[in-house]
Amino acid sequence: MVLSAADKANVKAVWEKAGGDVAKFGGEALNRTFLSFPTTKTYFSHMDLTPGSGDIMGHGKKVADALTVAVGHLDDLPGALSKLSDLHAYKLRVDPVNFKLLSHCLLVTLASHLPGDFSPPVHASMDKFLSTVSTVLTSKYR
Amino acid sequence: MVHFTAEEKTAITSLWGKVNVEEAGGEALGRLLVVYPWTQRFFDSFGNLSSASAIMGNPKVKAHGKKVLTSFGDAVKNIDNLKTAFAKLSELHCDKLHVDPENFRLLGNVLVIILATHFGKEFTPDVQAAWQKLVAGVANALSHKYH
Repeated sequence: MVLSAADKANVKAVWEKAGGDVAKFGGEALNRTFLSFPTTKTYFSHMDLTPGSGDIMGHGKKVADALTVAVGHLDDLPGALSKLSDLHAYKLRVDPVNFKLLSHCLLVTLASHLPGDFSPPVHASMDKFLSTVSTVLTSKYR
Repeated sequence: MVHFTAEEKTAITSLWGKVNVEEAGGEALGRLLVVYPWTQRFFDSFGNLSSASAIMGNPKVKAHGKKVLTSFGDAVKNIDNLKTAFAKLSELHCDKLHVDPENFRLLGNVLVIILATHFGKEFTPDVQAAWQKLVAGVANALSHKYH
C-alpha cells in the first residue's frame, strides 16, 4: 500500500484544518476507543480511565503530536517514526489488532468534527495513512 | 448472545429515527467501495466505478445501498434477536453471494463514520459505543449461517 500524491495532499489538508484541536481530537479518539472497545483498556491500567480524564487527554495529545510528526514526513514514515516503532515493539508491545481500533475512532472523531472536510476521497486517504502508520509502528514486532 | 441495555437501545433507536435511509445507504455503500476498493469485486454489473465521484453518483450503488440499509433497519427492530432475524440473509450471503464476512465489519464501521459526519457532537462516545455493538452484532448474525 502506497500513499499517492493525492493521498498526501488530503492528509495534510485535513490535519491542517484540525489545527490546534488535534490534541483534543486525540483525547476524544482514545475516549471513544476505550468505550467502544473495552479490551483496549488493558494497556492502560496505570492511568485514570474515567472518560475525559487528565490522563486520557494528556495521552491523546501525545498520540496527536506523533501523528503531526507523521503528517510532516509522509515521504519517510519509517524514518520519522523509528523511535516510536522501537518503543511499541520492545516496550509497549500493544497487540497489532488494537491499532485498527484506535485508527477507526480517530476517523470517527475527525468525521464528527469536520464533516464538510471528510469527503469519501479524504476518508480513504486518512484510512490509508493511519493504516500505514500502524504498519510502521508494528514493523519491528518480530 | 449480545445484550443491549435500555440506554444502548435508546441511543440506537433515537438516532435511527433521524436517519434518511435512502441517502445514508447510498453513502455507506459508496464510501465502502471508495475506501476499500477491493470490495468492488462484488459489483461488476454496476457500471462506472472508476473514481470516487463516479461511485458516489452511481445510481446502482445508491439503489443497492438503500436496499442494504433498509435491511439494517430490521436489525434495529429486532435488536434482541439478531441471529434469528438475519438467518435467511446469512444463508444468502454465504451460499449465493459468497461474501467474506469481513466485508460486513468493514461496512458496519463505514456506517458508524457516516453517522458521525451526519450527527456531529450528538454522536457522542457513548452513542458510538452502542452503535459499534449493533454493527458487530449484525456482522456476527450475518456470518452465523456460514459453512
